[in-house]
Order: sequence, then structure tokens, then C-alpha cells
Amino acid sequence: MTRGILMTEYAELAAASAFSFLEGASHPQELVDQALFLGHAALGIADRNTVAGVVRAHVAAKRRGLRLLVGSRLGFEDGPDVIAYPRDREGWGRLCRLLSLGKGRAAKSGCRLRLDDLEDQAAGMALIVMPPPWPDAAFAASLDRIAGFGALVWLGAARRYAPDDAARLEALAALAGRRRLVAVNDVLYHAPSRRPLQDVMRCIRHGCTIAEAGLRLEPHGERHLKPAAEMARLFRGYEGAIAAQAEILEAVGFTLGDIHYEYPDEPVPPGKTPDGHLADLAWAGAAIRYPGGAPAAITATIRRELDLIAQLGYARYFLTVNDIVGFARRQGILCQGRGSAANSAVCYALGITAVDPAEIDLLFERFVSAERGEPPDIDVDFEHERREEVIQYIYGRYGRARAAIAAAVIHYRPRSAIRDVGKALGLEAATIETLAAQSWNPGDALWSDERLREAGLDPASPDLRRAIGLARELVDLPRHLSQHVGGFVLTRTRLDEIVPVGPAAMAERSFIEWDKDDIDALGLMKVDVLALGMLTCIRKCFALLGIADLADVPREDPRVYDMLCRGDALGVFQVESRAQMNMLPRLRPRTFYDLVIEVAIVRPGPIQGDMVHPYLRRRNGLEATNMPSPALRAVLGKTLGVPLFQEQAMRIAIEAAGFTPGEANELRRAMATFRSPGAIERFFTRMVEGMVARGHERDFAERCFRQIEGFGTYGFPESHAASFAHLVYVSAWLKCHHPAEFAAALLNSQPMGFYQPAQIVRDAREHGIAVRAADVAASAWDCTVENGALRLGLRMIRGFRADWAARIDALRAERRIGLPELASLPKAALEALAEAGALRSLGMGRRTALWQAGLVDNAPPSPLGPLSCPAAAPELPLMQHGEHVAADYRATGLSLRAHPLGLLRSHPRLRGTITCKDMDERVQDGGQVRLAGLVTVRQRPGSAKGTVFITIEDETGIANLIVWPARVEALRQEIVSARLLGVRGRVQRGVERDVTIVHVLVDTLADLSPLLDRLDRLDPPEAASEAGGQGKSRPERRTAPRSRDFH
Amino acid sequence: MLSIWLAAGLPASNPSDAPAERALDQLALRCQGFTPLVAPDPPDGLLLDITGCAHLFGGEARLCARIGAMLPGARIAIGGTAMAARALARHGITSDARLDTLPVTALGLEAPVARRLHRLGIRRIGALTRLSRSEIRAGFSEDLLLRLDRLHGRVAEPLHFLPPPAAWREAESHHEPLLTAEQLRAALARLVIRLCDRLEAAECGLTILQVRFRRVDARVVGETIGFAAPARDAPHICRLLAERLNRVDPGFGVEGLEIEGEVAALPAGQPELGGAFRPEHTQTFDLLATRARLSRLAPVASHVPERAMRRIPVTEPPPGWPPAGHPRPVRLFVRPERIEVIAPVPDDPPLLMRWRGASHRITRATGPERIAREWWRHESPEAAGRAEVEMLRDYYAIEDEAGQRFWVFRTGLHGGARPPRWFIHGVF
Repeated sequence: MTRGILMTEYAELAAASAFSFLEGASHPQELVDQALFLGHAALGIADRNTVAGVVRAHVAAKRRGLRLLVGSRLGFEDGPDVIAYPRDREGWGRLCRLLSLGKGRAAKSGCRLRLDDLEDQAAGMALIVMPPPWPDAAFAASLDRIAGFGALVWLGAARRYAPDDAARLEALAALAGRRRLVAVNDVLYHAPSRRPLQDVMRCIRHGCTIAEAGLRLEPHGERHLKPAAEMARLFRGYEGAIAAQAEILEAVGFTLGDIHYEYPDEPVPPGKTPDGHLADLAWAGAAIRYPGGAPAAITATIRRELDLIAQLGYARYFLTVNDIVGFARRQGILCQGRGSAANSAVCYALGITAVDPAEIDLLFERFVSAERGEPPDIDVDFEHERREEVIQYIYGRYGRARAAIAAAVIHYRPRSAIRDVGKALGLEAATIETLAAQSWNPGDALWSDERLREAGLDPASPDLRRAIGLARELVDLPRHLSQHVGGFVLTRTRLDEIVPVGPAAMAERSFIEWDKDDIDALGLMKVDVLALGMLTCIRKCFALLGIADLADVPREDPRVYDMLCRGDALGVFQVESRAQMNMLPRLRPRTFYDLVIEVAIVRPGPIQGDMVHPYLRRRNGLEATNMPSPALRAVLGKTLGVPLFQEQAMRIAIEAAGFTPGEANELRRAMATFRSPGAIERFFTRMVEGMVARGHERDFAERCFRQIEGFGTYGFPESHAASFAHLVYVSAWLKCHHPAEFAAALLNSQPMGFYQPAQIVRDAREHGIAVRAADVAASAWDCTVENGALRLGLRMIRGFRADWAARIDALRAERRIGLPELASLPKAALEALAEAGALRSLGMGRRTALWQAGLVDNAPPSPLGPLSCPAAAPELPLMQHGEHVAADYRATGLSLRAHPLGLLRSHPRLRGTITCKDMDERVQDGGQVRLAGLVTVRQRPGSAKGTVFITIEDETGIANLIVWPARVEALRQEIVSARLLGVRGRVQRGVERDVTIVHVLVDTLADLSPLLDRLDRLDPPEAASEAGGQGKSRPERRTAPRSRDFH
Repeated sequence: MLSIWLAAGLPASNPSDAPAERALDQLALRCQGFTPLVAPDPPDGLLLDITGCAHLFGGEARLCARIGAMLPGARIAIGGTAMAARALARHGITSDARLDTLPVTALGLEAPVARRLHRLGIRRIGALTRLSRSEIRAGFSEDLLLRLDRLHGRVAEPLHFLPPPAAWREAESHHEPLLTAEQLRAALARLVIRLCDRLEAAECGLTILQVRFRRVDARVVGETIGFAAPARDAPHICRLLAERLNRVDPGFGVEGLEIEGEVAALPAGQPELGGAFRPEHTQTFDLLATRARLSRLAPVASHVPERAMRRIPVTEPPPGWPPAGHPRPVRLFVRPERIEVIAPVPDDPPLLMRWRGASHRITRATGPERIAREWWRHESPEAAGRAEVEMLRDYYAIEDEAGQRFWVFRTGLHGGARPPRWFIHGVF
């Protein structure tokens, strides 16, 4: 694009955005907007040793029509800073390789470059050399050297507002020759109002307060985008420097749109094309999936999809994913595709996904459509313990040069923002913590005057206002780059010629500088390799039962659904949470599709959109199922007229409000953007008016829109729900028919799921399964099933290691285990076994075993036989029941003997409490009740506006507590830190179709955790000072396990 | 042995006191009134060896009562050994509890051993007696055995008792009141010489010396002098005191004099300390310091010129100044003065300046050097109300026809709410 620049036009070519982490203070979008506002001809974004922000700038500039140069500001160890703008595609590749080289040399998130490196890669670049405060002989030498590299070189001149500006400009002009001087303003932020934030960022970066920062801060606030006329005035007498910008703009022809992405080449049998090969595989797979022949509709769908894939050229992408899944299958790793990919019949035929198009009505356009113009996105879940094998396979197959993980940009959130800002401004630590704690309640007006006053702070204090104002500006600005969970980018040519690749904190991993949004925007391909704990659990259970594959599980077993209708779902995928278990008896699933709905319904989307209760009412026959309009029957029929899924929202937009598929897609995109739910506002009018114009009621239209807005945080696509429902069914079937093996598999796959081992074991016992404690004579590392009883494995013992367990296995194979044989294990292993009571079968009680374990020498076995048997133990005090229970919890996190509450019930502080079971059975709705229990789950769901849900457990069962927001603040300390809670509250009973759901609405809580430490000593009160001086329980060995906390 | 445990924490006597160890030491000094053998037992206890002292206070019970009165909230116990007393104070419920009933944690064990004892169910010291020595050694640690031995007095526990403090005081009384300066000088000289002899023996020097005169009418007047470096040169000290004597009003006569000082280490034959004061210089500085306030300047990291330096005492070594940044005037006015200026807008240097009634035509200038306000500082409420808070200054170094150079600045930009004002801040 060549146009001459008039004397009054200007283009800023040295702008740093917030992706110069903690140096630039404005988002790339803000820079673009401001440049447009000022009427600049173009903008050049150059962040320090990175191009992490350029895609965002590119998208913003393209949308708003601003010419953008993308490049990077390179910092050298042995030379001045150089802004590098690639002139063409090859130049961009060289820049990426240069940055990759620098990052590879440096420690985490650093970059080390030398001028030699630039010399190798300078062809095809336009370079702007940025001089130091005073250009000296060394700089002149560097400039000469750079000028000889074969790139186009200019010298950047900025007005620094120093007394020697005029002299400096003269000197620079002399160095460069007037023709090669280019005017810049070395911009750090888009507008003068950002100066304080930039100062604060410097302080954060240097780790000092603003009062100490001194000369590290800029002396003035002039480093912002300025109007062309002002820049012309500042460079009066150096008009050539401004005109030089036009030369640079003409020399640089590259934009990010020039990057053409190519899928990796997949091996295709000779004589076939990728499309042909894919088709062959798909038909072969369909034959396996439908042994009796595929229904005509499915065949048609597959054919249609293959045509579209061929038209868009995506065949190689499917082949790549197929290859990865194939590897996993060959290794016996369970995997399953999720997300929108489950909308594809071809994926089902290939075995990538598990959603049968014959059962679920799929919307392929949700996954791939001709208009979208962007590659599909296939996410695959793998067993979480074996995901690493898949990752290494990908690296091995594609090589580090063609495969890397996507980045995740970590942005400032309110809590981190106020912490960093508060520290930089020198606020008191207590004040900062109070402000940070307020961000605990999302959704409320953050740091509003009332909340400040409630917390005891003065909203009028200037220090406070300043800190809050700056923290608000800082929120959502990028803080640093981190590695994404599992999104892989794979390319045919070198990846580091598309985007810089740098090493991650984990060894043998590398990641690129762009995140998922950037990748989508540029059309690169990404495969998400994700981890799912339940897949590990299922496979382990299959191994115990001899089942080969997910497809071998009998479908639609009514006993499974009976179990789910009872709400008996601990351990079952997705439906085991408190909220889900409450929903099961209400929704009463009887078919697979009911599970699909169950998975999707207990989510913030439908809850916020107020669609849950209407659905349940209709399902239970309390309300008529009327369609809002005949046109929507097809869309909403299977959910009884109530929109529950993303695809339905899209379809409503298309059919009821007249959106085009492209616009519906935009809407879905806006729904999926986690960070800016407010972007949906634009669509509000459009949709509501569109629906009203087509005869729908305004009320319904607004409700529909509100639900869609709720999806902004997290909504489900139907296909995704269906994929998950598949696993729900399989795990429920295993729990129903093989509860012991299922419990063992759950325990062997921890950490995962909603519950702690203690609850899993309790649930197993409630179902009549005998549970045997870990014992050195019978236990392997994993939990196993012995004649229908669950034998806890040695992995349950805290601190125990798998290699020790392997050694014990070996010893057991040789001969009977006795203490002399065990003496070959390290002392720590023996002590762990002793403390867990696992040496019981050797005839030693805990204390005796502990004594012996402490004595055993660790010398290597002598040829004379096992070591001299240690002397018999002295007489040690007998362990009381409570001490056993406490020791059990300390060692394994659970106890088979008794529940701590059973032992503490007689303690004075629990006087007047009743058991959870009693409350469940006897207390009426509205009745006052006092309870006590161990905290097992804490939840503060975002959809609940600050309500906290707590589950407590005592010797008879559990109770679900609700703490309303009004009480949360007052009880915050107890909620956050108590392990044992005393509760006073009112019972709330709801009966629905003869299933009772009981909650306790909390009035007050008491932190009774210190009582847990008394389990050891249920004696009369002992020395007074012992508790006082050395007070709280020792942190490293808790008597109660930690609870699971969810937000 | 008597053990005091400050269960309620150290008494908050003097909040400005240095860290807790010093506070504990001072408390120990106070307890030296009961026995000369006092050892601090950090972090919050004291041990007193009261062998042979108790009867002076009317018996052990009365002694405990007196200590208890002095230190409210403290727990006091007496035991046969230091370890026993300590254990009883911290863990005994009543003052005559038996050792056997105390918990094992009273032995001050390391965490792993304490944990093992707890796990094995051995909770009280009495339970340990059921184990043989070899069992204890094998099952736990040598350290546990040692502590038990110390508890029962089989092995002695080393304690570090505080030495009594020396008082650097000398005093004199007179039947006939001293009236003349001559007499006072002579008396002071005597005291000073005695003190300096003691200082020499202890290898210390005075850092501060207080002089107090007790007058006939019972009023006390005094002076304090400080020294640039620790001093024990008697003539020098007397000369300094002589200077100050002019300010002392003896009234109808002085009955008693007292001098008291604080000291710091001063080894004999002070070696050469590069960069610090040499002995002969300190005395000059001391003399000057008694007549006038001396200070020197140190740099402060700030862009704002008037905040870029601060005063420090002369005694501190000369600070390093950062390498020259932008040129600064030799003389900076404490308060900038208003001037009138003719300058092209918006930010060119001035052409004409009028200051203190004189006109200057400007021939050369550099600038503007822009220094923006330090936005994080509060303006005083009066200042905020009185004048518009300045947002920035543009400084210019200017030279007039006569060759004089000035440093002027303009606050605010043209086109703002108020017209900008010009000031002169210094001369080169």
C-alpha cells in the first residue's frame, strides 16, 4: 500500500504495548484505537523481545481499518536496542527464528541475543536502531556494524525533553545522515492518563515502592501517542525524519495475513490422496460402528461431511488427529473426543468421538462450516496419568521444530492487581489483604464504597482511591506468558518460522508466544490434548474386571438408571457433585438423553438464565409443554420447549431472530470469550427485536437473551454434553454392578473427582462392601478386590512410595514377610507402615511396630543372614480408641474403626448437637438444629452470587449446609479455615416426587478444629500451658484430611 | 534455681527499645537485684540461681511474691536444676507440681523426637522412667537422655549469666557551694580525669556526656555534649565542657556535680580508618559542633530538583554522588522566586527575563527539560486550596548578555485553565 505522507501526517513506529510485560501500560487494542483517534497514518507495535501481542493488534487494526506494522524491539547484550519490522514473509520467519534462538539460551522467560545473531538473520528486515541517551563512540561503531548487515537501517530519534535534546538530535543526524533519521516518540502508553500506571509497573518490575523508585521512573509523562501536528512541532527543523516514516511504510509490505498455514503432511498410502484416504478410513470405521449397516441418514451425513471437508481442505487435519488417537488406542490408553468435534459423524466413524449421530441430532455446522473460514478444533481427553505418553509421542513424531504447545496469557485479576499495586504504593499489608479479600466475591461491585466501609476502610482516603483506581486499570492487562494445558500447534514447515518458540518451565517442553485466540485468528491448527481423571479410573476398573473397551459396556441398563434416580452417585462422572446429586432425584433420568440433559443443566448457563426450573416443572408434568412458536418446535422439542444448549441458542438466533449462520457464530464466539462477557451487549437489541418482529413475546425473547448471556461464563454444547454423558453412563454402570472394583479404581486414580478417599470408602461400606485396611502381608501398591472385599493399597499411606511397595511385593513372592525381611526397607518406609498399622499381621501393634521400626539398622544384609533381631520392645502405653482413629487419619486420611465425630460426640463443646442422620430423619422443615462434622467440601459457585455451600460429615452421614451471602462475610474465617465445624441453623426440606432433599441454612458456625487434636488424648484436662504455648496442631500431620474446595 | 516465664510477653516498658533480646537483657539486669547470677532464657524467660539468696528476702515464697509483683503475668517456679525450674514454670499447673507429671514437651525436645514420643503414647516425664537408659538411647536419641540427666541434676547445664553493668558515672559533693566558673571547671576536670582513666582501662570512649549540676536551691541544671567519634582525651573533653559552661547558671551555688556518659568501644591506639575521621579531626569537629549546627548533603533519588538532596550529619562518611545527569545550578534557591518572562509559545526558551527589578536579555538557552509532578505525593490541604497543583515544570538554563546564567522554569502549559507562571530556581 503506497501512499505519500503529507507533512501533517504521522505514524508512530516505536510503540510498546502491555505485552512488553510490566513496561508498556496499554493494551494493543487501546494503542490501535488511539492511533485512529489521532488520525495517524499507521502504527508499529514492537514489544520487547516478543511478538506475543501482535495478533491482537492485527485483529483490532484490521477490524477498524488501521495500517499496522508488526515487529519486535530486540534487546542485545552487546549493542543498542533495535526495532525490527520484517518486510516480507521470509523476513518474518527470520525474526521468529531469531527470537526463538534468544529464548532458547535464556532462563525462564528471558531472551539473550547478540549482534552476531542479528547479522545472520537481518535480510528482509527494516531496522530502526534506538540510540542510548547520549550517542557515543561505541554506539557509532555498533551503528556502523548494523548498517552493514544487509537490512534497511534507520536511526530512531525521539525527543526526550532533556536539556540536551537539540544537541542530541544534531549528533544523531550527523551519525545517520539526515536522510536516515526517523522520528519516533518511543511510546509506552496510549494516553497521558496512563502515566501513573506505567510508573507503578516499573515499581512492580523492580520490586520497590513508588517512594523508593527514585530515578528509575520516567521524569515526565510524554511517552504517549501524540497528534501529528505536535510531533511535527517537536521535530521542527528535522522534517526529513518525519518523512522517513513514509519510506519505512513503503519498504515494509508484510502483514500477519501473509502467513499461510499448512497442515502437517500425514503418511498416506501410495496412490491415494488425503481426502481419499480419509474417506476410506471413515467408511471402514462406519462399518465397525454399525455392524448391521449404517442407517441411510447416517450414510448421507457422512457423505455430506466428507464433501465439506474436501471442499475446505481439512482432510489432513482429521488424519492427524486420527493418528494421535490411534497411537493412544495401540497403547491401551483410553481417550475420547469432546467439545464441538462430537458433532461430527466422521469423527464418530473414525472412533475419535463417542457420540452416535443415530442417537443425538448433531449440528455439523457447529463444528465446521463453509463460512467460518477457520480450522476446526478437536479436543481429546486422555487418561490423566498417561497423557504424558501422548505428548511425548507428538513431540517424537513431529519433532520440536514442528510441534509446540500454545501459550496462555496470564492476565492480572483483581486480587493480584490490588496486591501488586498496593505493595508498590506502600499501603499497609493489612489494608492490602482486606482489599484482596474483597475480590473473593466475584460479580459484586468490586471495591465499591459500601464494601470498603463494611471492611473498615475509609473510601474517601486518597491513598485508597488511588490504589483502587490503578488496580482497576491493571486488571485484564497481561502479566506474563505461561504454557497452555495441552493445546498443541503442529505445522508442516518449521514452526519457529511462523511464531517464536521458547522453552517452558518443564523440561523437554516448548511453547509458542501466541495463545488460543491468536491461533484461531490466524487460522493455525491446534489439537487439545487434555487429561481426564475419570478415564484413568475407568480403565483401571476395566483392568480389574477384564473388560476391553468402552463399547463393551451394555447400554441402557434400567438398574443403572434406578441407582441414579435415587441420587446414589458418589464417584460417578459429572453427577457426583452436591448440586448434581440434588438434581438427580428431581430430574430422574431414565434414558441416555436424560443424562445428556443432566450433565448440561447444572451449569451456570441455564441456572443464570432461569431455565432450570421450567424444564423440571414440565418434565414432572407440573406445567404444560407449550412451544413458544411452531417454528421453534424442531429446535426445542427434545428439551420440552426450554433452551438448554449452546446449539439451541444458536439455532434460535438463526431461526427466530433472523441471524445468519455467520452472525450466530459471532454470537457463539462472544459467548465463549471468557474474559469479556459484556461483549454480548451489542447483540441484545438485535436479537430481541428480531424475535419480536417475528411474533415472539418480548418476555420470552429477553429471557432467551439472558440465558445466552449466562452462557458467556460457561455453556455447554449439546455434543459435548453427549460425550460426557457417555462416561457418566459407563461409570454409573461400573458403580452399580461392580461397586468394589469401582471404588478401588477411584482410589487408585486419585487425585480426581469431587470426593476424598475417606468419602469413597464410606460410600463403599454403606453399600455393603467390606473394606480391609492396608497391610503389609496382603496389600499391593494399588487397592485391590479380595473376594468381593476392598483391600486398601499401600498407596493410601501418606508418604509411602511405589518403589517400596514393589520391594514388598518382591519379598512376599520370595517368602513370608517378617520384620527381619522388612529390615531391608528404609527406615522411613517402616515408620510409615508402623504408623498406618500395616504391620498388624506381623503380630505387632502400632506402638510396638513404631518402636521396632525406629530401632532397625539400615546396614546392608550380611551374608550371615538377616540382621540380629532387635530387642523386644519395652512396655508401651496402650493406644486408646481415639488415638487409633487419630493415627489412622494422620497416616491414611481415613479410618475404618470409627469416625472422629463418633468419639468426640461426648465432648462438652458438642453438647446439644445431633447426628446428621437424626437430622435427616427427624427434624421438620424450619426446625432449629445444632450439628457438627468434618468439612469435606466447600463450594462458592460463581452462579450463586456469593453463597457458600459446605458439606460436613459425621459418624452417621453427611449434611449439606448453605451460608447465604449476608452471613458469609461474618463467618469468613470459619468457612475458610475450619476442618471441624459446629453448626447452628435451620433445616430446609424440599420434597419432590417422594424424594426429600434436606439442607441446613446456617445461622452461625464455630471452628472446632482444635478438638481434632484432642482425639489423641481423651484424658482429663492436662497441663494448662501445653496448649497455650505450643498451641495449634503441627502443620505437617493433620488429623483430619483437607477438604475439597471449589469455586 | 528459679525460673521466670513471661507468659504474657515482655513488659512494654519502653517501646522505643531495640529488639527483644535487649529488652530481655534489661529485664535480667533488673533481676540482678535479687541475685547476682541471672541468665536470660530466650525468647521469653529468665533463670535465676537463688542458692543462698532466698533467706535474704524472707524465704522462697516471699521472693516469688516480690518477683511476681515486679512482673505481673509472669509464671515463676523453683526447681532443683535449671531444666526442672524451667519445665515447672512453663508446664506446671501449680507451683509445687511434681516433675513426673509434667509433659515430655517440657524437656524442650526437637520436633521429630517429640513426635515419636507422642506417637508411642509416652506423654509424661514419669513414663520415661520406665524405660532403661539403653532403651531411651536406642529408641529416641542421645539428646533426650542428656536432657533427662540435666533435669535430674546428674549432668550440669551450662548457663550464661549476665555480667553486671558498669556505670560510667562520676560524682562529687561539696559542703561549700561552688560559685565561680573557675571552681566549676576545676571540679569537672577532676571528674573527667577519673572517668577517662576508667575508660582507658576498659578500652572504651565516650559518645555522649551528660553533666548535671545540683544547685543549692535543689534545682538541677545540666548540659549534654556529643562527640564525633568515641573520645577519652581528658583535656579535649574539658575544653568542650568549658565552652558550654557559659550557658550554665549556677544560681546561688552548686552543691554537687555528676557526669555520666554512654560509651562505645575504642581500642587503644586507634588504627587508621580510611575514609572515616582521623583522631585529630574529630576534635576540631567537636569544637565546631558545640558552636554551630553542621551537616552535609547527600543525594536523594528524585527527579524533582528540590527533593534531590537531603542533610545528613557530618559524622557520616561522605556519600557518593551519582554520575552527572543533566546540569544543575551551583546554587539552588530554597524558594523559587517569581519572574516575568517573554517567551514564544508553546515551549520555546525565554527571550527576555525580568527579575528583582532588573531586565535580562537572553542570548543562549537550553531546554525545555520537563519534570512532571510526583503524582503519588499528597499536597498539604492548605496548598491544595491555595494554588493550583502544578502538573509539570519545564526548566531552561539561560544565559543573558552579560554572561550570567540562570536556571528558570515555567509551571503549566499554555492553553491550560490558568496562565503559566515563571520562576527562577537557581544560578549557575
